[in-house]
Amino acid sequence: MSEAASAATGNVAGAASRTLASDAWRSLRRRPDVIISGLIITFFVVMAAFPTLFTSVSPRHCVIGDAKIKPQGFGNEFPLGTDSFGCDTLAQLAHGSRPSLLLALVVVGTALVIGVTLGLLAGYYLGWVDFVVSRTVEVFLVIPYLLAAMLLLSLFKNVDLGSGTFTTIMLPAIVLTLFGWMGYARYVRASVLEAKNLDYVTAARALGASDLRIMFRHVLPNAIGPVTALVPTAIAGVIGAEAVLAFLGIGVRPPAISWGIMIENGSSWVLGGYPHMLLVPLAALLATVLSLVVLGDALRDALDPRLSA
Amino acid sequence: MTESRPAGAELVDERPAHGGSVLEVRDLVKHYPVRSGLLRRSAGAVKAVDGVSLTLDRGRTLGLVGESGSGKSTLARVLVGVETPTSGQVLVDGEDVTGRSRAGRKQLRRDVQMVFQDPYTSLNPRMSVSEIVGEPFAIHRIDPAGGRRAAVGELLELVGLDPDHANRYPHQFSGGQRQRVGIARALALRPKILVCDEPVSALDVSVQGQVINLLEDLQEELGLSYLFVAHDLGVVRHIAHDVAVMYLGRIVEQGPEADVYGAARHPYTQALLSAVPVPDPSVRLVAPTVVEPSPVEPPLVEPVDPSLVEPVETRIQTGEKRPGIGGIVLEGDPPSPVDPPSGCPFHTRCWLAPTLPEARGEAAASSTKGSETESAGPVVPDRGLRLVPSVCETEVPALVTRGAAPDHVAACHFARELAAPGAGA
Repeated sequence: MSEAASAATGNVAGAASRTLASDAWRSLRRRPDVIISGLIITFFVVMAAFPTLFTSVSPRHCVIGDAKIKPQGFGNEFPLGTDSFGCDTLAQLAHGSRPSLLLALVVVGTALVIGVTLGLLAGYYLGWVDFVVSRTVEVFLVIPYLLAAMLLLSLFKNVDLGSGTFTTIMLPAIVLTLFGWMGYARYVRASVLEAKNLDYVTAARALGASDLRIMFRHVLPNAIGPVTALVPTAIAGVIGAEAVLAFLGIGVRPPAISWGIMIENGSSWVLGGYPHMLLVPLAALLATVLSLVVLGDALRDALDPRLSA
Repeated sequence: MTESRPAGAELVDERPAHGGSVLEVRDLVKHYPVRSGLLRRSAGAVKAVDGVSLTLDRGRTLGLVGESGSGKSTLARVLVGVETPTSGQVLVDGEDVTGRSRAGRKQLRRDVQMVFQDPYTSLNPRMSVSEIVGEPFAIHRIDPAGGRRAAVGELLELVGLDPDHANRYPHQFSGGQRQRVGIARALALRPKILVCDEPVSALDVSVQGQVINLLEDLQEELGLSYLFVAHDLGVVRHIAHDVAVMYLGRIVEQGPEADVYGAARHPYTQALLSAVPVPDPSVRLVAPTVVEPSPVEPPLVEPVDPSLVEPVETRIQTGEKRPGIGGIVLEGDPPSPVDPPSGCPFHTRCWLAPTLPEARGEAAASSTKGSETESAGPVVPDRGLRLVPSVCETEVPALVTRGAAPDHVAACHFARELAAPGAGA
């Protein structure tokens, strides 16, 4: 029962200069699921950055006579077949990855920053800050997002923003961010309420720490957990939502292509005998999201000192 | 703020002493408003601390005891500057710190630090021990001589931990070791006063002693003063030089440890002491009404060696008196601090008041006079048969000298030493 004895026996782990980051990296490297997920994500990121590495065909080169060709396998003219307009599916998948992934990244990233900041402020200060934030969250939750999205997007429908990748996704990005931050704010607020009354926060306050320091060093690292689990699914949600907006003609605008548009187009041909039009983009989306889930989980475990030891 | 202070074993406070007292609290009040209704109007207040005055001398330990909800922890939080008092003064080294600016309060925080009750929630699980112990330096932008790393190592050594474990995380330590980390963090800024909020009540009995001894050694080595908040009377008796007893936000009895434990004057203190588990039940204090003839004629509570007193949480037994045990049993729960009883706050649960001749006399008078005295009568509404002297209900007793020593004070109109079986009062 002696403390000294237990301290002496546990001496193995205490050796010198191992930091949490290096420990995390070491444990991540040893997990096969993490390695596979990492490779898949890298693959799609490279595809988004350099789509021409994967296909030499332009996605806008569509010959109606080649419509609805089933996948022919690699080495042939249409490895993954063509869609109902005769466009090459592989070319569309490669070129469509950039807007889709960029949109997901921008939307989830911005929503995360907004939601976490507002949730943190609301939970920490309570009072009128909390009142304003909570009511705003409720207002945004009550507005049917599709309706508001349609309204906003049709208002800007005729505004020409140019044809760069970023500008084609800008409108859907703004709309999806506007209606995507509330979940993070609510989760963070709830866990901040729990974390801020723990003794280590009182201890930091008794030491004279500033609010900013308490929030970012003590409260947020212990309150962010539930939110990290939301992020991978939110990315899938954004790509799906973009498909819905595209279906309504107000999302990523043609001639730009995205996975969402491909899924939307392909879904009507599943029962017609051409499931590949749906399955190819869907498989790419699922692989991306699953990899993000695995990576996110592994990273969270590795960075939590209680679980990594 | 960039002044460098060496940390570690050779930290001896060279700052000049201000008389004997390092901490003085004057009429401290902390009320929490209770809001209700649509407009969130203030509908009363929780009177957590309701006019507390006390003095802590340099190098001494003041034990603060009382039931849960008596305001001990709130008082501790006000003293370390986590809560701002509603009114009253806190003087550190003769200087009032309650009205200070933010920067001034930061200085106060260097002088008064806190050790927490639960070592499992008082350390941030995502920070390593070196980050936790080194955080005070980072907050106050102090660069100790020899660097923060060395200072953290010295602090860990000071509290009996291996400096090589600085890179570990709190979950890799036992409860006692975590409490030592918490003490090291509190000592980093070289405070004059440590406020210990039940520092051992969450620990194993075997570890409690080690931590108490550590605190005593540190006091000797660094000249610290402790405000030791606890509900464990045995532990307080062991470590404290002076004892203050709180009930419902007020101090009801205060004095040197030997006087308060040996000759308690306030009925509440007497009830608390009688509830301390003792190895031999026959030496326990008993209420005069349940005098139990004891064959061995034991003296007062005196012979209980502190080391024999098991540091088990002290509870006031509620419910019926168990025959043959003979401790003083208080009935019911403490009244709500939102609406404390009039007069003496303890009169609703006092075991002494109903036994006094004054209470009986007034009861007899009121029964003969009938309805005209009923409104102001001594009958306590919630217990039809409970009669207390009317002075207990109407007048707040002052904290005045009641014991043999001049600094032994008690707030009771009828304070008296309790007759124990076999010992004269």
